[in-house]
Amino acid sequence: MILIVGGAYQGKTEYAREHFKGYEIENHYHEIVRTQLTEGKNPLEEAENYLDGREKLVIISDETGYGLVPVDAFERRCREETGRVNCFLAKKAEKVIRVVCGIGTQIK
Amino acid sequence: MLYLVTGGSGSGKSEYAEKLAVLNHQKEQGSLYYIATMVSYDEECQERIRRHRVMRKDKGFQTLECFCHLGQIYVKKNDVVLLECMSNLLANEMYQADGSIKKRGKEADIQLMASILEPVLQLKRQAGCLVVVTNEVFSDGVLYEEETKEYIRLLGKANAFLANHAEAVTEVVCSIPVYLKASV
Repeated sequence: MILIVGGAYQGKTEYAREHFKGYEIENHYHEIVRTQLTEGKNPLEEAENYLDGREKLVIISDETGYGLVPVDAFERRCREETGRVNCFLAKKAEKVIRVVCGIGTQIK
Repeated sequence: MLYLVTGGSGSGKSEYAEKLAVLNHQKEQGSLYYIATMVSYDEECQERIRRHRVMRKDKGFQTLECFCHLGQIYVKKNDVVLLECMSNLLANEMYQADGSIKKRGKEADIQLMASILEPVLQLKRQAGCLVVVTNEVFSDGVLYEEETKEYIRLLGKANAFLANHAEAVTEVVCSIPVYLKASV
C-alpha cells in the first residue's frame, strides 16, 4: 500500500494518478474516518480491516492537524483520530509520499 | 544540545520526542525529566494526560509539573529533559492567572522572551540534553479574532527562535521524522 498525505488541494490525487497507474485509489480517507466516527465505529480497527488482503492500493488522506485545537468536541476528536489513523497507515505503507504544492516528497 | 520536535496534532511527535530523550539518557549519567505543562480543567484534559502517562510509563521519566515560570526549574549537567510543550506553556503564560504574558504586541514579545524563551535556553545550558516539543498550528486557514491571532503569532515566533538555537529540528509527519535542520 502507498500512502499519500498533504494539505487540502495540494495535488495529491493528480500525483497518485500520474505515479501509480494501475493502482486502486482510495481518495479522501480523512472523510471516511469522519463518517466512521459519526457512526460510532473505531477508525483504527476499521483501517486495519480495510487493508486486509488489498494490494496495489493508494490511500490518499489530508493532513488535518496543522491548526488550533477546534472548539467543537467532535471536531477535536475527528482531527486527533485522523492523525492517529494516518500514523497507522504510514506504518503499514511501503511508501509514504507527502505532497505540497503538487510536489511529492517520499518520506518513507 | 537542544532538539526541537514539531508536528501537527496526532502526528506521533510526543512518542518520537520521548524516544529521543530516552536514547540520549542512555548516553548520560544524570536523571531523565519530563516537564509537563498541561493544565487540566475537564475530563478530556484528564484523559489526554492519562494517555501521555501510560505512554511514558516504564521509560524512566521523573515528571515535573510546570504551568508557568519555567525559569524556576533547575537541572544538572548530565540530566536529560523533555519539555512538552510550547503551545501549552504559551497558553498558560497568556491565560492563567499567574501568567506573565498579559500585554499584546511588542510588550508580549518581551514577556515571551523573559518567561519562556530565555528559560528554555537556560535549561539548554544546564542540561546535558534538552528536547522541546512544539506544535504546528499555523495552517488551518481559519480567520481568527485578534486575541487568537496574537497567540498564533507568538507561537510562530517562539518556534522560529527555538529552531534557530536548536542543533536539530525535526517535524514528525504520520510518525515519520522529517529532518528540517541537521539530522539525528
